[in-house]
Amino acid sequence: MYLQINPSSSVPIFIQITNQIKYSIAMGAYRAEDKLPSVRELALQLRVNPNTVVKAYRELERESVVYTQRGLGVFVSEGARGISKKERKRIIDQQLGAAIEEALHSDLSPTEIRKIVESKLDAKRK
Amino acid sequence: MKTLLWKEWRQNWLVFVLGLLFVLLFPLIYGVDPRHLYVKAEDVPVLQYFVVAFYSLLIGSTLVAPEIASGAIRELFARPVKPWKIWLSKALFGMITAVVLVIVAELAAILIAGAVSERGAARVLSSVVGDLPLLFLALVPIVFVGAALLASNMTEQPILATVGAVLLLIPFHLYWIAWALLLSYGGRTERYLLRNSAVPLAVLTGLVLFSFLSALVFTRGQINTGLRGPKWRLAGVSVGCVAVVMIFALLWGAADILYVGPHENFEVHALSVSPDRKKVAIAAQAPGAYDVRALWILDLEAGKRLFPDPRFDASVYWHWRARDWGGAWSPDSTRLAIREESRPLRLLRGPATYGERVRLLDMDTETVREIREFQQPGDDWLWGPFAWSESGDSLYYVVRQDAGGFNIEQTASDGTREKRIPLVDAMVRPRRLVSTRPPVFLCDYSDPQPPFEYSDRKCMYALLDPATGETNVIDLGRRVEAQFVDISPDARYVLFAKYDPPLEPHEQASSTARPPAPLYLRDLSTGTDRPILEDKKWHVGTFYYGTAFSPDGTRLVLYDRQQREGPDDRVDAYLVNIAQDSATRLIGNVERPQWLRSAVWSPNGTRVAVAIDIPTKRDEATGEWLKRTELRVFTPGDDGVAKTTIAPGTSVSGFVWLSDDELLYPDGSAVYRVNADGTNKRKVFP
Amino acid sequence: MMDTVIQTKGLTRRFGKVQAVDRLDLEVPRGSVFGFIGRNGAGKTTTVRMLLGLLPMSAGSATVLGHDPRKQSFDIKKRVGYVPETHHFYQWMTIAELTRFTSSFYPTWRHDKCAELLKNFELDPAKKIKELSKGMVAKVALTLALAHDPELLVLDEPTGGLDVMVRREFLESIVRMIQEEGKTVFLSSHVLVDMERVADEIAIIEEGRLVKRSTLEELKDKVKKVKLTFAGDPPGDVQIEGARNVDRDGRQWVVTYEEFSEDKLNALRKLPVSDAQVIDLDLEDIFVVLVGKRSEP
Repeated sequence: MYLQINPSSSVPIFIQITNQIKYSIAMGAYRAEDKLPSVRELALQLRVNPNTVVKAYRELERESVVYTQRGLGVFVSEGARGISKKERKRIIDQQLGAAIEEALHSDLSPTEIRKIVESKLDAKRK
Repeated sequence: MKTLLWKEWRQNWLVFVLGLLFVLLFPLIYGVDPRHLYVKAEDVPVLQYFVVAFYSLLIGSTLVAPEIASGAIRELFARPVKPWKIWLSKALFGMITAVVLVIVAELAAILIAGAVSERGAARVLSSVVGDLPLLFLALVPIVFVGAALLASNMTEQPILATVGAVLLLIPFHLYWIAWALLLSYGGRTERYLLRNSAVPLAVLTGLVLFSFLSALVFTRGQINTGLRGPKWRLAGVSVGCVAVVMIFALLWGAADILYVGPHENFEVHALSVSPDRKKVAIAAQAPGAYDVRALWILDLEAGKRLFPDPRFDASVYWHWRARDWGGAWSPDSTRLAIREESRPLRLLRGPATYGERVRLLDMDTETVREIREFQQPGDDWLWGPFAWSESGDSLYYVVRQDAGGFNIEQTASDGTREKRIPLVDAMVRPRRLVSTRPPVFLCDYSDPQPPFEYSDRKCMYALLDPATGETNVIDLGRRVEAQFVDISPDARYVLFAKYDPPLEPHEQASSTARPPAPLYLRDLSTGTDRPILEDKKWHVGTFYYGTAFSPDGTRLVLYDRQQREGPDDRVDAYLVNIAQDSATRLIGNVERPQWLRSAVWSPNGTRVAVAIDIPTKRDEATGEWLKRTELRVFTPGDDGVAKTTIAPGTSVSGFVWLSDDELLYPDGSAVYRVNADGTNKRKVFP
Repeated sequence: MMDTVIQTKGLTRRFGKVQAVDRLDLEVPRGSVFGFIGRNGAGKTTTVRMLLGLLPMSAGSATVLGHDPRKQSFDIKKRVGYVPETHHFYQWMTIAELTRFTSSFYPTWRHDKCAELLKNFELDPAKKIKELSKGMVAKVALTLALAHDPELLVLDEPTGGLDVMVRREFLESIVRMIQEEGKTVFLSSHVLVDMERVADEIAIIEEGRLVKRSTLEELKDKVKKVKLTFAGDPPGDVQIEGARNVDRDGRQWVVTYEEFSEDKLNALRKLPVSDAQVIDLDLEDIFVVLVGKRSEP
């Protein structure tokens, strides 16, 4: 699993991890019943405090994205994709919201913003 | 600990190897040319101790300082290891290195100096090992390591550490200088330092304190750097403690040297009676300490000592051999000239290796005057003997020049040098005084080119008049037993033995193998020889003591050694009447030649006494016989020789005649006076 | 089993008149990575040396792994792996000799682990210390610190001036160590980007005094800046509550908070500003804020 975290960011590292894992699941990189890297491996790979990874996995488990099997590891749960999708939607919602906020601050009118959005969508359709 | 020692070794092996080379340097230089070092072979091992000691400073200072400089010591202290272990590994390494270097140094010295010296390695070795306290010097390098270790903790540069160690040792240096001065003043030799227990104690204390305090500084001091920390206080305390102990030792030694102690500490060895029979000079030595000697002058009539200054007791060295007592009384008995050994301290030019001086003791004023001093290397040698001129105004003594050749020096009794007469004839070698009125010296006269064959050599002597320097050569001819020649006190007759047939080679080689020989008497006024005592051939080839002529030259005591090899050696003593050509046996079958001492005639020749050792018991441990000494007094008369035995005790052979009827003899630390018939024995000294 | 691996109370160190460490109170919980940061000369190394018993304390007390460094530094040293800032290994030793030498001091030394570490760090045991680069020496030091299985790893500026590869190796070692039960890491470093990755708690020391002690998360939550943009001229006499700094630059103000909260942000929004933007700070910025001077709020 390839995750890129930015320790300098104000977003806590464990949240960065959970987000990126959910994103990967939503993209289909990990399917139901797939095993995720162990805490050791992931902490080592990312060079972060294992506690942080433990926290991340616990959070994911709380959200039922993954489940733990004692002695065996952490696995993607059924319906993770769905949750992830929901999660993904939430992320996008957040990101779009931030972009719109900034556009408004830059004195763009809501009409101009809509225009940009639609032109972008059109370009993609083609 | 093993790993720590391994680390010390791996880190410092170069210092060790360099040390090995260093300690070989001095003996090698000596081995190449001993003469230029003015050092005797036996002294090389002793000097090596000091060579190692100074190298030990380097060893000690490289043990800690470089690690402080590089910071490696901090790494070590960050490890779970007790600091004393680290210190101990360094101290052990340093001291083991010093000890190994000492052993190598001594072996090198003994082998090399021994190879070069005439005496050989074994003798050099025994001179070192035989003097066990000398081995104590082996501790000095260890002390130096301790001091250097201490200094090494104070600084980061090994060079500074060495300098620091030298500074730390300044008290030691001053200490030894103080001792040298004290010894010189008190007339002792360096060996005294090793016998006086205070000195090793000080060295040991230095060792312990330096080591202990370097340990303390090491374990605590690595925490504080900077000039005023506890490190420096501790160092100051350590140096202070060592200084206190050393000063104590010095004071102890000073008291010991300056306070000679009661006379019971000494053993009287020889006596010399003044011509007027009123005074006697008593020569004594502290047993077991050959350099502790004393000379006392006793006024017999008054019964008191002259020269009561206690320092005088100990500061007087004198030379004495059993027969040639090195002193000479002036004819009027007011002055005594003595010959002394001295150890002059020449601070700038370095110590003299040997010295002698002539001193004059003035009985009336009880003062001592220096007449002449001789210091080797480089100076003339006092050859002796002494003699007074007949008038008693001048003192004559023989001096051998450093370049060879002899002078007779004549000195007035106030010390002014009157004359120096070189002995022109290079063959003359003064040996002893034959007569005192007038003074005549007997000299060996050496053939410049002696032939190889012993019996073909000429036996020659000379009689020397010290007042004029004139010599009278006596040629006794060939095949004369050179070890047996004597001259009568009036310098008129010469007694000698001649081998006929000549000696075989094996007899030449070993004096105990020599056959008996007939005796002859030469009349020096006529120059003719005549045989005496012809009915017997005499074993006179080897003797510890020679003959003894009576004062008027008419009789003599003669020893005949019946040379059977080994334990069957026997000596007989005979009284010979020259005019009657007769010999009466006085003492027979003395088991060991050395047990029979010289015969001594009374002043007017009426009696003769011989000291003889009688074995009493054999010491189980050493196999030596314990002896008692007796005085046998013989009074020759018309009807034979009367014999009296006076059986006093131990060191009696130093006896003298006080008059024809009285004797003085030493026994232990006392001097006794006794009649010739053995009665009325009383102690006169102390 | 103790909760706190290191605890200090009023730890003080004086050099003459100067207070190098001034009444420091620290608590390092077991199993954490504790970050100890401060400027050069702030007292970090002095503190570390006192904790290990390499320097005497002027006042106060400390307990490390249950031992008093003043009396039981021997026991502490046995159980702690220490990597100091500068290394003074014997230059003439090879790595193999050095490890053999060092192993003799530790009864818990593991030669297999040591060999494994050397292999991972790509260190040739036959090489002499003087032939090694700075980074390799640091790795040797780390190997020596880890090979005896210490319960506590104390690192004092272990990666100063070292390249990125070596820094990553150090981080990995820290991560590996923490994964084991009951192990703790005490890390004092300037390299705050690395600190950010692994530290659980942070303590900031300035001029010998403890300035801040908190979890990294909390720090990131509480120390923030807000950029205010004023539409017109800013009001002259406005008071901003609870701020540490206010930098006024024309119509743009930056307000720095040590204890940021939503309420404070809302209070700011009440001002005649066209924009109030929250700026998230990384650890370096946080450090600068907490250690820098306060200006008029």
